[in-house]
Formats: sequence, C-alpha cells, structure tokens
Amino acid sequence: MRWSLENLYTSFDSREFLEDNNKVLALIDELKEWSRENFKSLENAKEKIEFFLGKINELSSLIYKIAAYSELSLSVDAKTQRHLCILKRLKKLFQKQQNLM
Amino acid sequence: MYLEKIEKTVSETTEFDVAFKKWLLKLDKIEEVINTSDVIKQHKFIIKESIKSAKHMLSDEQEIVISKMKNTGSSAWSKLQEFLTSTHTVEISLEGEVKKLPLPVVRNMAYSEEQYVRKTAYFAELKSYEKIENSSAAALNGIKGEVITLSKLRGYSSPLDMTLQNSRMDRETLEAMLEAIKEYLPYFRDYLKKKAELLGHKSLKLPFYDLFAPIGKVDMKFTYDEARKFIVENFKTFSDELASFADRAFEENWIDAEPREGKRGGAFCYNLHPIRESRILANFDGSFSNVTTIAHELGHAYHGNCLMDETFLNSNYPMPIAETASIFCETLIVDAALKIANREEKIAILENSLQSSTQTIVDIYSRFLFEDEVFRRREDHSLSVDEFKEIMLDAQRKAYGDALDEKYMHPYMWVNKPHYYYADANYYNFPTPLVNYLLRDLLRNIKRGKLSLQRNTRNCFH
Repeated sequence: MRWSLENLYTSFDSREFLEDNNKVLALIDELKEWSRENFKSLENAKEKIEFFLGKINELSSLIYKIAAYSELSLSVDAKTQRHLCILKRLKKLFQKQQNLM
Repeated sequence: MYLEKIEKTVSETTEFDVAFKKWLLKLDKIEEVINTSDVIKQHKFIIKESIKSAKHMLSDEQEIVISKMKNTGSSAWSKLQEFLTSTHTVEISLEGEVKKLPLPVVRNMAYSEEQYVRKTAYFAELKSYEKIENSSAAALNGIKGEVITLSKLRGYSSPLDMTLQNSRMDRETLEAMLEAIKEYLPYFRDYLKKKAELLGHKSLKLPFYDLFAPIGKVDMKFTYDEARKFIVENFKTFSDELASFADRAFEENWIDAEPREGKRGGAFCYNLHPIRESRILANFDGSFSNVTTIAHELGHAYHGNCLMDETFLNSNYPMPIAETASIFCETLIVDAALKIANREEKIAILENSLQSSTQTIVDIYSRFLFEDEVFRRREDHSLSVDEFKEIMLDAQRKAYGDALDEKYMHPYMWVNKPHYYYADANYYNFPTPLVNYLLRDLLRNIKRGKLSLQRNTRNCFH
C-alpha cells in the first residue's frame, strides 16, 4: 500500500538527481545566451522555433521531474525538514516554469 | 547547493520566455512557417496561444517593474490573508466546554451527524471572523484593485475577459453555461427544500449550517484488495483499456494508500509525463467514500496517460477540463455501488452526490456573482466589510433562492475561501459547472449507446 518513487530518482543524493539539477542550470544559461543572439532578427524562423521548442520541452520536463520527486517525497514524510526546504523552493521554481509558453 | 543555484537562475527564464513570445508576434507569415515543419505544426496551438498572450504583454521594463511590484502588492496581500486564516482560531462552546479550535476543525463540524454541533460551529465561526474581517477586506481590495489595473494596462476589456482568455473559454460558452445554470436552479432548490424537510425545518428552508448535514448512512466496507477489484471490474463496464490501466496502477505500486504518521491528509494524483507514469496519494480507511476517491484520482492518472504521447508542452491542460476524467471515473464507481447498495445506503450515496453537485453548480454560481459584483464596485472604490458581506448575501440569495433560510446565511464566505485572494486566478473554478454538464451528457450518451465505448475512451480525454 506504499508507492515506489524509484522510477523518478532513488534518492536526493543519487547521481541522476544531481545530474538533472546541473542539466537545468546549463540549459537555462544556454537558452538565455541563445535567445539574446537569435531573437534579434527574423531570419531562419523555422529553425529557431524548432530549436527553442525542443529546448523548452527538455527544460520543463526536467524541472517537472525534480519538482515531482521532491513534492511526492515530502507528502509522505512531512517531518523531513530538508524536503520541506527543497519543496518550497522548487514550488516557486516550478510555478515560474509552468508559465513558460 | 544545486537547488540554490537553480532557484537563482530560474527567475531569469522570464527573459527568454518574453523574448520568444514578442519575437513570434513580429513574424509576418507565421502560418507559412508553421506549415513547413512537423515539429512546429505539432505545437501550433501553443504557438498561437503565445502570440495571443504576447499581444497583452507590455514593454520588457514594464513587465519587470510589474513583476517586482506584485511581490509587495497582491502577493503580499495573499500572504497576509493566508497567515490570518491559517492561524485563526474559533472559540466554541460544546457540551459545556469552551475551546479554541483551528478554523478548518470548526468548519468540518458542518459534516457532523448532530445538528447541535453543526449549528454551534456555524455561529462560533461567524462570530470569530469579526477579529480578522477588516484585514481580509483590505487584502481583497488590494488584490482585486491590482487585477483591475493590470487587466486594463494589458488591454483586456475586463478581468473576466482576461480570465476567459487564460482559461481558453469563449464568452459565448460562459454565457450559455450561466443560462443553463439559471434554468436548472429550481431543481437544486427542490432538493434543498426536501433536505430541509427531512432535517425537521418546518419552513422548508435550509439553514447554511445544514447544507452538508449527512442523510442516510453507508455501511459498505472494503479491504484494499476488494477496492482494487471493485474499481477494476467496474471500470471494465466502460472500457477494458481503462480497467487494465487502473489495474497496472495498483500492481506497479503507483498508489500510496496507507495512512501513517507524517503523511499528509486528503488525496491527489501527480501525473509524471517524464517517466510516462503517475502517482496517487490517498488515505485509505476502507470506507466507500475512499473507494470513490481512489477511482477519482485514477481518472486523473488516466487523463495523464492519454497525453503521454504528446510533448511535455502539449500535455498541459487548463482549468475547464482538469476534472473531467476524474469525475467521470468517480461516477462510474458511484453508479456501480448504487446497484448493490441497500435502501439506506442508496439514499446516502445519492444525497452525497447531490450535495457535491450543489456545490459545483449552485455555490460556484454564487461565487461567480460575488466576484463579478466585487470587480464592478472595486473599479469605483475600495469596499467596506459591510459591502463585501452584503454582496455575498445577495449572491447567495440569487443562487440558492428561497431554499436557503434568510436568517442563517453565510456573509463571510469571502474570508474563508482562499481562491478569492489568488491574483493570477480570478473567478476561480468558474468552469466547473460546464465540466459537470459535459460529463453527465457523456455518460447519458454512453448509456444510450450513442457513443461506442472502446473507440472513444481515449478521445474523450484527449
């Protein structure tokens, strides 16, 4: 009668969890730089939209996965203050991300 | 460490989000561009929606100023209201003992089997709001005032116009829904009058404190395995696919059903698009109501499953359809239970269903009327506590009509419902009646054989 979250991450300290966090940071930096450069002109619209959609799908999905793991972990273990702290931050972060597009 | 970095960096995503939308707006031949690429065609809907929203965006500098000022404006007012209600205590005297209880505990007494408890809780709750009414009114004036200012700056004709666009709903649809509600209000009033009679109110008018009074009793008990069997078997009457999906959720431990210390209350479903699965939290105690809750959450999961082949961006859906699959699945189980229930249980199940429909049709209609009038007056001035109370009572009169006892209404519903204080979600939940109607219609057509079950299952929620 208990769920398994292992298909998301095995723990907050797992390599996959840390790697995904790093990927989010890298993607945001990449997109900031790319958009400053590429939204200056209207040329190659097709390629630019395709690239942007691909990256935003990847970024949103990663942030969602991290937020989901944190929220689900906390919901069955409310006493873990560490989770609570992570959740509060991620909720804020995720709300921002949901507003993308 | 990683999270701190993300938190800091993510606030900067607004930059490329806004840049993209404004850039899209500048493209002359967007239709042509869309048709040249399968990937873009796949995202046609959100591209067009982005262009639509870009038309209401202000300059980069203005957007930044607004976002910063909201932190000290509507967000600060929302936090104040959240603080006021979450720390609010109600002084109540029950069986000779005076206690100070948290607001949700006292509000939950509305479901008590004893009328004395329901009535005492109602009076204690109303009295307690006097302590916070002025602060709540200030918060609501601040939030609604900001919404009016921003909707004007962004070029919407009204906050309602802005809400409809954000909810992907046409004004004609809203008007048709409101007309349909008005047409059917007499049926709800008949039910409320009958309930008043059953509870011994000679005037045949129901006091607000008896709206949630239980009628009848359901003694059905289920083990977790029996609940699984009952749900899967009855989902099968609709479609094999839905049934095997539900069975998979049980089999692969997607459900956390066991109540335990440290676990949060209630129930929810989290659709996990990145791993093509879902997780459901419930607190299963063996009651029939818990079985319907799991069925409801499995409906959300099934909805998510229908969208797994979409891209992440395309899997997002708005308020008007969020509850469709869940209420649909819950209704399948309620219908199945009615077939095996005894008379007393049937009355309880049906009354519970009517109670819930009254909330989603009649009460939500009153909330809509309240908010609409608040926006109208707030354009002109800040509202006093008395004005808020008067508007709420008037909205309840219009929605509940002569079925609600004038002497026992609820002038403070604007204090305890957090939804009124969400600056980014006005007229909260207003499309719910439409969802209810669509589902009833869908079920009616299925029962009449007008819809082929197997072929249409997925399409219903896609």
